[in-house]
Amino acid sequence: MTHTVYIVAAYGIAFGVLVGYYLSLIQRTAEAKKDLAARRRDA
Amino acid sequence: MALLALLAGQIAAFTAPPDRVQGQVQRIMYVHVPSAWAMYLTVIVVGVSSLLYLITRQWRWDLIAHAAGELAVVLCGLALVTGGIWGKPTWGTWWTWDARLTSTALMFIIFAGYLLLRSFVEDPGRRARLAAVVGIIGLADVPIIHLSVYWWRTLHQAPSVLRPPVVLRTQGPAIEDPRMLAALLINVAAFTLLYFFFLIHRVRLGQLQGELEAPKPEMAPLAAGAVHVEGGAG
Repeated sequence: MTHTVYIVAAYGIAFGVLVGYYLSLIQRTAEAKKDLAARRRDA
Repeated sequence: MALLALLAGQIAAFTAPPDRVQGQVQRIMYVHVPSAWAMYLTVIVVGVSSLLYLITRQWRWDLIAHAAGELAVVLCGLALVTGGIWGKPTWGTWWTWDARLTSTALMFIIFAGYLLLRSFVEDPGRRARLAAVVGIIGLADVPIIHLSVYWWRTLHQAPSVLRPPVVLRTQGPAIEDPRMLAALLINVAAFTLLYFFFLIHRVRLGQLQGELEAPKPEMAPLAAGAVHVEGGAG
């Protein structure tokens, strides 16, 4: 039972971090595209 | 493809037999070892790209090094945290100043510093040059981490797969059950694919950010083969 907690914690953190990182990449890319489009519009 | 490999890896991880000594908790290995492997891979990418940047002064190498450096922090952190969670039930402690753990923590600090350095230095040329030096220092830590278990008396076990030839000859394979070895290798392959997927996305993001930094569109530092001019934006 105790070991299950360690396994769930390790897998939860690992996949949580990987998904979180991917979401941050998507968000930062969308922001950069938006800023670039605004800059091109202003130019 | 990376997702499919990851799914296959998890199926293999949870259908492989448990370890004779550690029991079910050994399954943490299927996420800890691939994280550490991907960490090695990304640090090698940072080091080689940094070296190529210093030789060629082409922005593309700095861009790749930056992307891989960010991933180094993520993957090194992951290897440290999953290792700590595995260490508690098997060693009785989350952390110990063992040579393998300490050299990995040093790697984390080096790459956290690498990202901080990149955010503090404004001049793009100076930033890329200094970051490249730190990236190469980070690369030098890879053999230290990997061989630390042989160089010093450590609590951490010897590598399960990537053993030096001399050790392999004297001790034989670390994982005897082929189902456990297969599960580990599938997860290593899945993390490798996932790593390159992230790296490509992060490089694309870097290209966009570079275009935003460049004063004029034609001066964007990311045009293929663009050569950096010292002190300029690209």
